[in-house]
Amino acid sequence: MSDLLGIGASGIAAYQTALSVVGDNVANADTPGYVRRTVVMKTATAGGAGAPAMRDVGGGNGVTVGDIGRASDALKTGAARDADSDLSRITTRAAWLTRLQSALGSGDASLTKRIGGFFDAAQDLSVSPASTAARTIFLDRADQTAAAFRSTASALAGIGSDLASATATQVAQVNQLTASLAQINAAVTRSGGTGEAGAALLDQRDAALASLATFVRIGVTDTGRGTVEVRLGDGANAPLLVSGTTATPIGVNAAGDVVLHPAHEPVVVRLPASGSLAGLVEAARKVGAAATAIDALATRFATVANAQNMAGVDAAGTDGTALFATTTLDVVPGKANGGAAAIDVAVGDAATIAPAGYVLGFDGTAWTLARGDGSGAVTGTGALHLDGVTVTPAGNANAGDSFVLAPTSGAAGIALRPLDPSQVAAASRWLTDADGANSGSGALSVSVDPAAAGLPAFPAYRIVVTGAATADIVDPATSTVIGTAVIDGSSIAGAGFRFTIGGQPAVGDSFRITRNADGAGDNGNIRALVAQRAAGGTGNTIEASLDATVTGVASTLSETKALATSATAVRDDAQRASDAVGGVDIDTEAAELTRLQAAYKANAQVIATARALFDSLLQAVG
Amino acid sequence: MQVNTRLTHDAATARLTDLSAQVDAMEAAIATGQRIATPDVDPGGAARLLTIERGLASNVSQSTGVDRATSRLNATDATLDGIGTVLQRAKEIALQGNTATLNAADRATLAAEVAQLGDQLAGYANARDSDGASLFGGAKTGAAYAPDATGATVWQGAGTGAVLVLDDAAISTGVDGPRVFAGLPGAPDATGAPTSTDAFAMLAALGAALVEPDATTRLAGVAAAQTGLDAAISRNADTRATVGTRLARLDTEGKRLDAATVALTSDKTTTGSLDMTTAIARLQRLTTVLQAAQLSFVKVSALSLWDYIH
Repeated sequence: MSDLLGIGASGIAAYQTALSVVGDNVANADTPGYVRRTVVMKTATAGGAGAPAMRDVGGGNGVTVGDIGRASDALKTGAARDADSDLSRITTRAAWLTRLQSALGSGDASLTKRIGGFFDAAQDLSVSPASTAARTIFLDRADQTAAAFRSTASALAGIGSDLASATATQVAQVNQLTASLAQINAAVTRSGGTGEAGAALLDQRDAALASLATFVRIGVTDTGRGTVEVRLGDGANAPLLVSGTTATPIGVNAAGDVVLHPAHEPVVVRLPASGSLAGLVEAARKVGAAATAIDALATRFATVANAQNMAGVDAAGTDGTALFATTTLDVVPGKANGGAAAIDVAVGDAATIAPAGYVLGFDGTAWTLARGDGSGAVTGTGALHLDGVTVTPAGNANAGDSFVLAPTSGAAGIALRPLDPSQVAAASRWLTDADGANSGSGALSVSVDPAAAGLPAFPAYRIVVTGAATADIVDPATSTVIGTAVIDGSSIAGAGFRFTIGGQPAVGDSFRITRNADGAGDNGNIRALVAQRAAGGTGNTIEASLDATVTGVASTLSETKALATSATAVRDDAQRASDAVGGVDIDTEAAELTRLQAAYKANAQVIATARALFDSLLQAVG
Repeated sequence: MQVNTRLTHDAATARLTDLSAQVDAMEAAIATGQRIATPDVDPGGAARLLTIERGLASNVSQSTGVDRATSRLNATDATLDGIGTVLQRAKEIALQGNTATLNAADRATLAAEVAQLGDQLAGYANARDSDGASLFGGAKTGAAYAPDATGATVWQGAGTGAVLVLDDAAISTGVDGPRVFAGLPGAPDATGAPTSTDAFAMLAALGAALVEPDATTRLAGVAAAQTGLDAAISRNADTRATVGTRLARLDTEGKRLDAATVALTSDKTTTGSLDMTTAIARLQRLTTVLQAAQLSFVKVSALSLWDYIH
C-alpha cells in the first residue's frame, strides 16, 4: 500500500513541477528571447541511492521529472539570427541613405535648382546686359548657389558625424555583448547548463547572440555543454570574437574599416557580411563619396564662374574679378582644451589665407594667432588680425587651450565675394567691328588670351587688308603700321587677345579691335558663361554631374528599399520557423494545463485510494 | 506547427502599420499630385524630371530674350523706315535742285529743308530701344553718333550689337551704325579717285551744293549727292531686308520655343504627375484592406482557449 502511496506522491510532485513549467511558459509568453520549456516525464527507477529505505519491487515505482528541456532548434535559431542580421544591415543602410538623399535635396531649395537658377539668371542677363536689375538678380542667384553648396556640405558633414557616433555606439554595444557572452560561457561551464537555471542561462545566451547578430554577422559553434564560440562572419577562418571565456573587442578605424582589438595593434578584418554595423559602414562610404563629389563640383563651378567673370569687363569697362571666394577657415578645437571659448573667424574679401592654416593659442592672459608654418604671429587680448583674417575669441578659455584654423575649400568654402551689380563682367573685353565701306565678306573674331603678347598694348587696333592673304595691323591713333597678319584662318597673337580673320575680305577692307571701355551694353562674356552650362568638363556638364550623384544615391536607396522588403519576408519566415519550435502559444499551454491538471487530480485520487485501502486493511486487522 | 502568440501579434501589427504607411503615402501623393515624392521612388524618372524642369526654365528666359530682341528689331525697322523716308525726300530735293531753272531763293529754301533732313537723320541715328540702349551703337549703350571737333557726325560705338543665343541659333539684335550710314560713294577727290562718305556728310554736301552760286560746281555737287543717295537708299532697303529676316527668324524661334515648352510640359506631366483615377482607386482599395485587416485582427485575437477554462 505504501508503494501506491509513494507512486501517487511521485505523480503529484512530478505534475506539480510540470504545471509550474506550464505556468512559467504562460507568464513568459511575451518575454523576448524566452524559449518554451518542455517537461519530459520518466518512470522512477526502483529503489537505489535516491530512496534507500524503499523496497525494490521490480517496477511500478511511480514517475519523476526526467528533464526540463528548452524547445529550441539550433539550426532554425541560427537561420533566424542570420536573416535578422541581413535585415538590420539593409534597414540601417536605407535609413541613412534616406537622410543622405534628403540632404542632397530635390525641392526648390535644392542645390540642383540653385545651379539651374544661376545659369538662368545668366541667360536673362545676356538678354539685358545693361539692366541693373538683371545684374542684381544674377548676383543674388550666385549667392544662393554658394549658400546651397555650403548648406549641402554642412548637411553631409552632419550626417557623417552622426554616422560616426552611431558607429561608435554600436561598436561599444558589440563589445559589451561579446564580453557578456564570455561571462555566460563561464557561468554555463560552472552550472553545467541543465535544469531551470541552466535553461535561463541558455535563454540569456541566445538573446545575447540574437542582439549581437543585429549588429554584425556572426558564426556560432556549439562547443558542447552549452558553451559557444562566436566568430565575426561565417567559416572556420573568420576571426574569433568569443572563445571560451575570452572576448575580443572590435572597433572601426578612421578609414571606416572594421578592426580587431582597436586599442592594441589593430588588425583590419573584412567588412561583416551583414548586421547594422555593416550598414553603417556602407552608408558612411556613400556619404563620403557624395561629399567628395559635391566638393569637386563646387570647385569646378567656382573655377568656371570665376575664370569666365575674369575674362570679361564689367559695366565700367574694367577687368572682371573672381565671383566666388573658394577658401574659408574651419575651426578645430584642440583635444586637450579645458575651457569653453567660442572662436569667431571672419575671412575678409582681400584675405590671403596661408596654405598651412593658422594656430590660435591662449597663454592665460593673451591670445596668439600664428601662421601654421610659423612664419608670422600676432598677439593680443581682443580681435586678432592676420593676412586679412579676423579672429575674435570669446568665452572663457584655460591657459594652454589651442585651436587649429584649417583652410577648407570645396563646397564648404565657396562664398560670393562682396560685388556691386556693376562688377558683373557681362561684356567681352575686346570688341570688333567692320568698316561700313567693306566690300568683302570677311569677318574678324577675337578671343581673350592673357598670355598673348604679339603686339604692343594699345586701346585699339585697325586691321587693313592689303592683299589676297595679307593685312596690316595699324595703330589708329598714329596710323603707324605695327605689324602684319596672314589671312589663312590662323589665330594671330595680339596683346592679351588673339584674333582670326575668316571669310573672303576684299583688298582695302578694314576691321577694328577695341578694348571695351563701356561694358554695360555688350553680352559677349555672359553669353560665354551661359555656354559653359552645356560644356562638359570631365565627361559631363556641371548639372549632369550633380544629377548623377543625386540619382546614384536615389537608385541605391531604391534598390536597398526593395531588398528590405524581401529581407523582411525572409526574416519573418525564419523567425516563424524558429518560433514554431521555441515560441509560446498560450492556447497550447491552456490545453497542456488542462491535461496536466487532470493528471494531477488522478494522482491525488491514487493517494486517496491508497489511503482508503490502507484504512480498510487496518479496520480488517483491528 | 504551433503558433507563437507574441509573434502572431507582432506580425499582425506590423502588417497593419505597413498598410497604414501605404495609405499615408498614397494620401500625400494625391494631395501633392506628384508621383515622385522623393527621388528613390523612381530614380530614372527623377533625373528625367530635373532635366525637363531645367529645359522649361531655360525656355522661359529664352522666350524673354526673343520678346526683347523682337522689340529691339521692330524699333530698328521703324527707325530704318524713317531714315528711308528722309533719304527719299533728300533725293527728291536733289532732283529738283538738279536743274538750272531754279532761282537762288528757291535753292536756299531747298537747302534749308536739307538741313532739316540732316537734323532728322542725326536724330534717327541716335534712336534707342525700349530699354534705352542705342540701336546703332554696337556694344555701346550711349549715343551712337555725336559731332566731332570739325562738326562732322562721327560714330561713337564699338563692336557689334548684343547677340541673342537660343539653343543652337545666334541672332544679332543690333544693326551697326556704319552699315546704315557710312561707306557711301562720295564726290571724286582732286585726282578723280573715288572717295567714301557717310549719309550725314552727304546731306551737308547736298545742302552746300544747292546754295553754290557757280552752276557747274552746283550741278556736279548735286549729281554726286544723287549717286550717294541712290546707294544709301539701296543700302537702307538691304538693311531693312536683313532686319526683316532676323525678325522672321525670331518668330520661328519663338514658335519653336512655345512648341518645345508644350512638349516638355506634357513630358513633365507624364513623368512626374500622379494618375489621379488610379491613385484614388488604389487608396480606396488600401483603406478597405486596412479596415478588413483591423477587423480580422480583433476577431482572431479575441479567440482564446482560456475563455473556456473554468
